[in-house]
Amino acid sequence: MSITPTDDLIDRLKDPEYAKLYGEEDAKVDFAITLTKVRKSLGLKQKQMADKLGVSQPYIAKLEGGEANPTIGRIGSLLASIDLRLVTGTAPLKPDPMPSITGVILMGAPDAFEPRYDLPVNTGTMAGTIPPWPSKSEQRGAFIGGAAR
Amino acid sequence: MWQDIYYTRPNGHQPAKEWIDEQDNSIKPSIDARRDRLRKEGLLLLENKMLVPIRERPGGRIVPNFYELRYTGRKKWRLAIYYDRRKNIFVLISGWRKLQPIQQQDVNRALRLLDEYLSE
Repeated sequence: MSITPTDDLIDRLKDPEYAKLYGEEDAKVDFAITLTKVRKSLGLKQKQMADKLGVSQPYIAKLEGGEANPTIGRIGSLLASIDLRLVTGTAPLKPDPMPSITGVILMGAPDAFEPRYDLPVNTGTMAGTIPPWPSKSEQRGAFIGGAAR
Repeated sequence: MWQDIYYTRPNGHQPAKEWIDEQDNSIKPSIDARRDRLRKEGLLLLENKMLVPIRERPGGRIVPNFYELRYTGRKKWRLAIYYDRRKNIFVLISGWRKLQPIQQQDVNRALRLLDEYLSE
């Protein structure tokens, strides 16, 4: 069976120095995807999102392109502008190996490739955003947590 | 989640793998991180312009299912990727460092390699 790009990545991650560099890039890309999903869930264009967050559209483009490297505090501050807070988590660095091509079920490709905006913003151990902590009165009898606004 | 593979030419060469392998560690992690995210997120990456449809030439026809994964930071690069609907996989065709606003030569090479892949 031929070597896949994921096999190559798993091999490169055996080098601790490479793993650190990859971890840095992966974190930026992860936040980029989270922010894009948040923006789409709010039905906003980048310019509208920029106005809400009080930053420029090019900065939003950089954040969503995984090219900016904001501090955690900066992220928290930005998300607070849209009534969200950052939730962090961890997951294994090594990517999931995939089944062989022959094992891939041919599902409805066009459907599979519709942008999946209805996906939850955060899942399990992955970083994401959730609303700010509710007040004490809101907490009484209310379920706290999850990915929904 | 999708699977991705390197396109292997009839002569055994894998242009995308060879290009990625020759990049240094100031570029390779950004390629790996974005490629792996494409595997997980698919066309959502069109929304933040990490993924962009490839045109035959500037202002020309969009080539169906053919995209460039891109990094527009300091060390810009492009990775041409074909979505093979029949197999439901991403096929890494070729890559290049982006040094000029328009690098038609690299796009043309990617298109030739795609034709080769599709003619198999």
